[in-house]
Amino acid sequence: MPDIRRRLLPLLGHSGGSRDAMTCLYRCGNACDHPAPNESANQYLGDVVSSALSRRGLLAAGGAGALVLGLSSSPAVAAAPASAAPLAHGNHGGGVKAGPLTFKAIPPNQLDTLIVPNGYDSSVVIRWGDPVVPGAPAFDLAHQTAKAQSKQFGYNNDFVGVIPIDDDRALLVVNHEYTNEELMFPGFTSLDALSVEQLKVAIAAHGLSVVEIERVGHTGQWQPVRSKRLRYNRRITALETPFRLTGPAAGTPALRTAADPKGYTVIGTLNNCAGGVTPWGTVLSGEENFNQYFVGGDAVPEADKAKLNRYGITTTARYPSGSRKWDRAQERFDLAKHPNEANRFGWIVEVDPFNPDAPPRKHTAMGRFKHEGANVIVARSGHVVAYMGDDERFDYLYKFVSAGKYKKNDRRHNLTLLESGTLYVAKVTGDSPAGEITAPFDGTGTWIKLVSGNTSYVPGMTAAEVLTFTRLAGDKVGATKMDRPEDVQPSLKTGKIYAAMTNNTNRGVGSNPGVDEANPRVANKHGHIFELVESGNDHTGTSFTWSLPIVCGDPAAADTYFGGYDKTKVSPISCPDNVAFDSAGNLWISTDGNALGTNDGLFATPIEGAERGALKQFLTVPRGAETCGPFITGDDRSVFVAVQHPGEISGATVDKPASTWPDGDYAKPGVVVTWRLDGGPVGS
Amino acid sequence: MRELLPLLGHGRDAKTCLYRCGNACDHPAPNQSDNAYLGDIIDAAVSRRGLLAAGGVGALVLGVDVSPATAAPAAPAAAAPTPGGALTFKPIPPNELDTFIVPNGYDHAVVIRWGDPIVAGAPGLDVHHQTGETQSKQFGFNNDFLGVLPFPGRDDRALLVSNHEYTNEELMFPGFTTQEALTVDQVRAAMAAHGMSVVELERVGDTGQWRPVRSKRRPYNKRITMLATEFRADGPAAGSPLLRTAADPAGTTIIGTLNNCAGGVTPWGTVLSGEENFNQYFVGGDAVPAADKPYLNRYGILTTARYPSGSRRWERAQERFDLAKHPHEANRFGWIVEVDPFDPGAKPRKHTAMGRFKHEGANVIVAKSGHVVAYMGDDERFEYLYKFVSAGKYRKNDRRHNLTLLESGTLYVAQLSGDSPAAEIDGTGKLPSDGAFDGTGRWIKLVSGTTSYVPGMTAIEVLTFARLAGDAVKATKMDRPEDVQPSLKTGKIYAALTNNTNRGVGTYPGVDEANPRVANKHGQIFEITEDGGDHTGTTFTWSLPIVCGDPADPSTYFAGFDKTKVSPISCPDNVAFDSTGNLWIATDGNALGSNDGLFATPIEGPSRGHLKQFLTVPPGAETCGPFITGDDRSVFVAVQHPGEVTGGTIDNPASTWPDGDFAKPAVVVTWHLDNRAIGS
Repeated sequence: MPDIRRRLLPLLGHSGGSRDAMTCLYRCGNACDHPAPNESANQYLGDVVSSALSRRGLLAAGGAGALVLGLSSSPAVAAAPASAAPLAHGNHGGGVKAGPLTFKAIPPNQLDTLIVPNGYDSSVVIRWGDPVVPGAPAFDLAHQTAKAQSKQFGYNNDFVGVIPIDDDRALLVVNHEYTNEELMFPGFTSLDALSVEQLKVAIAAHGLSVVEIERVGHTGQWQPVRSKRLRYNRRITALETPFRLTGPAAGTPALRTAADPKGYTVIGTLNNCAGGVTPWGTVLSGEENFNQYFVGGDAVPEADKAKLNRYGITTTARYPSGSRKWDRAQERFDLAKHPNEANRFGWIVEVDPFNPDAPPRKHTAMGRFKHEGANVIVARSGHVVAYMGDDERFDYLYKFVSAGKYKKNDRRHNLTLLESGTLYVAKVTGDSPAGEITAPFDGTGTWIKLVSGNTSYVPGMTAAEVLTFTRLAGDKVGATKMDRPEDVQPSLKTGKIYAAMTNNTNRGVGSNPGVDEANPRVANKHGHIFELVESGNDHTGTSFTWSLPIVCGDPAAADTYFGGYDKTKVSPISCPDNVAFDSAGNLWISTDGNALGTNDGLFATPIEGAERGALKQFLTVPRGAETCGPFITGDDRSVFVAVQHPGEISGATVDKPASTWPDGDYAKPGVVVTWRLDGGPVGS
Repeated sequence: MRELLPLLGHGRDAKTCLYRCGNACDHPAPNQSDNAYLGDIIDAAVSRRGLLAAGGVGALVLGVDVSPATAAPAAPAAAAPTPGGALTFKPIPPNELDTFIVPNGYDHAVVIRWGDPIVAGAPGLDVHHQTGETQSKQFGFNNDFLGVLPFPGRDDRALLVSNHEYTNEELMFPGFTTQEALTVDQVRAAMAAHGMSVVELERVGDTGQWRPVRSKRRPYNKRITMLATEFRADGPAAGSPLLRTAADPAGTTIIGTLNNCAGGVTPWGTVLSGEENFNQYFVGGDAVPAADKPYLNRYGILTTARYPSGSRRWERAQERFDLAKHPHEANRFGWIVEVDPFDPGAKPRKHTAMGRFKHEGANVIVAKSGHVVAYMGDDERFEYLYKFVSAGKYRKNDRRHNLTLLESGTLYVAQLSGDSPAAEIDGTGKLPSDGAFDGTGRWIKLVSGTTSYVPGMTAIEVLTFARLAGDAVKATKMDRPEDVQPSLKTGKIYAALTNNTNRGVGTYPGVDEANPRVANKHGQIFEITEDGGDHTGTTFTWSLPIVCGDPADPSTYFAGFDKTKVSPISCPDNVAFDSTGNLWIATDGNALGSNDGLFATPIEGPSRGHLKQFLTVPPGAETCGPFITGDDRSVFVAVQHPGEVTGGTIDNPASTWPDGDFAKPAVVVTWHLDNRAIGS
């Protein structure tokens, strides 16, 4: 049982810091334990710079003049003013307005509680096991059933979207990324010892929830509506919710299975990490580490193994380390019998919370990889552009540009926008010689077209192949290998795009790719923020400039950078994961696996002007937990966070919890709302 | 200069010392009497034994009873609809965060804070333009004692009664430079910020949360201030020459109350409040007749210079604070005050029958005989424990009668004996060979009605100068007796002896079994069991269930409970009980360096001493007032002097609690999210 032993040990060289080994096991199937799946030979940025330098060596005489690369080396240009970017969504017309971030920073701490600044209050909106669908039974830890869990709030809330119905009511849409059976089932001994019913509980605890919430009084607090008529409340599970595949790859042979010979209907969604809210009031959700749920990769035809490997699916043994063995509950998870089932996950999912009867969709046009999430902006041209990250070490940044245009009052039309369009992958170039990589880090980049509609732009791959095996397409066109691109989100205030590069402890280690200007640290433990400015602020364009406004870590460490701001005045931050914006355009960043040893949290910083980089910690979450989902309501009065995997510390169980948050008994993932006691804008 | 330096061996900030007690610890302890401390008594007893008995290690027989503490019969307990039980909450670890932390499963909210309007028509807090008039309608500064008195027959309405002990002008007035530079209006605002508040509360939904009633008709809401509120003096010393002044030739009407620290709620629905460090507000002690100076000195009033260190110079606003002109004004403070919150038209009273000293507070229990017994501490190093037994008896349905009970009775002071040889009390906190700090004691009668039992002192003198009476009868010098409170569940009495860094240092009195540590930084809990469970009696046994500090420190003791499982605690100050009888302890000046907090421990049975930290308050703050409602669903604490850290000002605050701008003292209620009993 080497797998069992291993997961009790801290993993060497995994995310580098305090993400617990348990989190690695349950969330991403110990992805960091395996070689990074990107074995492609395409250049990383360092290679690009190096070859440019060689060329320069050939073309130019010596001297320290401006380095001229093949691509533009001009410094990042200021984006168009805020008015140029369409404020396509959000409810930024409320009575209060975000402004300067005046709150006093929360110091790093290791307390088993959620801490907010003075002048703020917080409360749990909903937690694992709370009834969602009318008629749901009360949570009964010792006797959970799949039927009950399918009506209750799922486990490990991640993305949070709050979509207003009116000023006082809204729909809360939440991802449930993964389960940790050790923290869910009393008496847990091993995954193999779980009953099939317990497996089904776990499968049902994956997915999404839609919960109608109401404002408490006139405050920024929100609570679930407690009525019998909750027409929007809904659970979407991995167990039995049918999804409809859309786009060019839908119905193609790679997506067909015995249960779905047409290749259009998939049961469930897996490992939904981050996401975004569209201007037409739907939610996008990214299927991330779907690979870990499958078994039998060793028995697939030899020709298919490379594709599975590229997505992190084990093909050398029947069971990956720490396998949940869901094949015991649903045979489809056995690739030996259903080799195409894995191809039906790893997509961007769109859920219309206002139409509870509509099956959620998986948009093949947006490509298949380990989607962290997707966030859209309406380009000046009216096209909808979605920015996306593939959250694995040395994987890529993508964008999708819709074929159609956004029509303000035509929701039915807008609902189709993500079904067809053009998919690009990013290639990034630094503007400094490889030997001179010091802050500020910046450069240029191009969006390489992979596929547009049914037309592939990748030699040797069909459009359906490009979409279904997008990682391979990125490899072929020489995309830039990044330090785990997590949430990628445009600021609706400036149109600039921000990506959280959470960390990459393999960067420059051994035979792994070395540093480059966009991923400038060897064995990057703390991650950084990547800012992308589309040339001409045209989100449909193919060239951009970029910089790293924040290189995370302890500000006392020389290798950190906070926009040039006085580092004695900023909060330590490590492992940025999700980002959000308030209506003033301040950047909010949540962390996962703080490698500085203290609890994870939520941070905020101005990202324009003299205060760019003046980062302050706004809240901290309990021990073992990650701060997910940050969502600031359009009126700036409430910030929602998902407290994911509280108490997930090796050795802890539901019987012997490492955290008792939030109820004092055992740890439960929960969504928290924080608001200012005087009703003012959050952060100001 | 001195006030800017942190005081050695003490976690309380120098600013708290200055503003709260006028740097009491900077001065020699006022008790210079030569009466024996406990060590002396044991030594004498041992000598006597040496004379009377042959050698050998038999039981040590002292002059007084040395039987072990016997369990007292249960006294009538308060009704408890949802009784508490085992303390199952997970302890809060020590921390220094600028926030208020409660266990998981609980929530908390600020009920009311400094400057919040109380009386109809009160303006909101405006720190730039506070006056005596505005502050007299707003919640005062530095909330301390809290009582929550439900309206009869209602579980959703109550009156919150809060003390406002002292002010810190540096944390109140923007641009503060010196006390002398304050305007008279600002001085008057500070005076009005002293006193008490009565605030009508309502339950929020069906939770344990409470908030102020926000209607226009709030007939009970009231400010009692130092500035203008009239008190009536009653009891034997009322009207005596010692209490007469030019403004009050009858000696029965006093303006204001000072430095109200702890207190208690009576069975008839009134509040008792202790006037503590009143001495610091007076000037001109140097100009009083020489014969009067010892009386002032004994109460800590400076008689060698016109102004004590850090003087507030209140004589600039009201001349009566100048003893050179009004030498008796100081005698009119240092009493127990009784306030009837249900009768806002009634003048609060000062009960001279209960004696005058630096009253921490008073808590009463109805004895089996029906007499009302009040337990009281004099909160200064080397001062005494007292009790008062009413002349009359409590009558269940006769409130008018009960309101008179504390006007007449008998005042006692405690004298203790240890049961171990003095040599075994070595000052390190090491337990004596019998395994416990314990012993016996007696209540020495000082005065009963108008009869003095102290040779050379009249009844009036005994009451007005109770400290001198205690000296004369050789009361036992304790390590700062703070809150003293009987458990209504067991009838046992618990006193917080907060600390005494002078104990056994230099020429100061040495250790004894009840005060067993030299330079006692962390304090101890003192438990009294009246013999036969008779609260009117004159003999008792005692022990120290908890000797505070870091449990890893061998000088600490947690009733024998496994010290690896208890929370560190330092400087116990106020105590409270839930309906199960668990002991709750609030701290002031945590000398272990982290924030103050509230703790709870079972005090009976095998878990006695299993102390756990229930909440922590922001930096600079002290946890005061703990009050657990009768239904066990809510615990109220007063967060006193948040941000009182040397160098912190309202312009440059050391804490931003609770609102994120500058620190404001405030009352906080904590409740269980699923409405279980607090602590369980």
